[in-house]
Amino acid sequence: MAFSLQPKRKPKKTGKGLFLFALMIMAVFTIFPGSFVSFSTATNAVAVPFWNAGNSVRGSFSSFFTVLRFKNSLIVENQKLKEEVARLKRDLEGYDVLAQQNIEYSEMLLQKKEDGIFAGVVARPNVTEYDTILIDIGTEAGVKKGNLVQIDDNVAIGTVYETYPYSSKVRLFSSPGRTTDIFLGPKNIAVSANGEGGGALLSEVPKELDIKEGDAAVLSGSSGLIIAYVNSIEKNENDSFQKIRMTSPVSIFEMKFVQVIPAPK
Amino acid sequence: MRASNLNKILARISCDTVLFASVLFAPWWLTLLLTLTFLMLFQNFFEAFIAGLIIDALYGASSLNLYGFHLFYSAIFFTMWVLATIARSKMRLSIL
Repeated sequence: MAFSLQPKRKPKKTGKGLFLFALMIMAVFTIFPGSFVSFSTATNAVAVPFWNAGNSVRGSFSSFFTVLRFKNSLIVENQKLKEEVARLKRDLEGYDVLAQQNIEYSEMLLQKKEDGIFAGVVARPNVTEYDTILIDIGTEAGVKKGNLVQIDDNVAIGTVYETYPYSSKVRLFSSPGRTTDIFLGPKNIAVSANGEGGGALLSEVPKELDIKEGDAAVLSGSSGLIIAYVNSIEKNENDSFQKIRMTSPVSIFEMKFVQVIPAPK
Repeated sequence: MRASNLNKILARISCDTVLFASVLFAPWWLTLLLTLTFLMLFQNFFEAFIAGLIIDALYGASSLNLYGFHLFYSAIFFTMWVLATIARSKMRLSIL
């Protein structure tokens, strides 16, 4: 009997078994979407504490660096902020009257406004995709699919589209492929706005309609919530429509807190 | 266990930590860049596929578009993993 003295060649690891296993996982998640939802819920439950810790660390770092800033730059910044506050105060003159009128009209329409649920934003674009954000409250706090999400009292940013026990996904109005019915401009022209991503929306309306830069796009219905302002208008001589480009009044990349508005009972 | 093997394992664990941290905190393009780098550095870097699954689970938007397909990033990362394995087998590149 002859034995080879050459060392046996180890078969090269190609990882075919791993590839097949990965394909099997994808097949299971695709055929049984419920299993993917369970996986998603578990992943979210694990990720939320990490996000919260990350946000805390980020906050500590920013306050640390704020302390290190030069005194002069702080004085200049303070002066600028004072001027900004004065300008905003001027802009807001008459706001109280309008707010009071709004409450009265809402009461007249017998539409009671529910209190919002305060939520922290744990992940936002460009960590998340498709103009979605993740918030740190979920079904345990009473969040439901379709709930409106807003910032401040008069700016709506999107709606809840997926919920987990302790977190929720919010799809912004600017999410690509999303169409939202809005009232545009002071004459409340009813149009549809399409999400373009990055906080931008686009609407195509007939040329004859009088729309100007800076006009507000208000969510259709009686909420009166602003979702965007007209940024630019594109008119083409050969086209009977004009393209209205709008941007959200808040930076979607810097949102920290939002309010989830429960659906009226 | 030989010291060189231990170093390889430690390097891989460190890179895994960086990759999964980037999934949670970094912009998507940085995660993609890191995945590409690690795929070329390590043999059979299946963690790329796991990272894709986690991205889909955390940020996935199946109800938005893609005709209800949940696993957009998983599919991309899986393809990258397969291609990187094929590319590595054709090249004499073997750093770790």
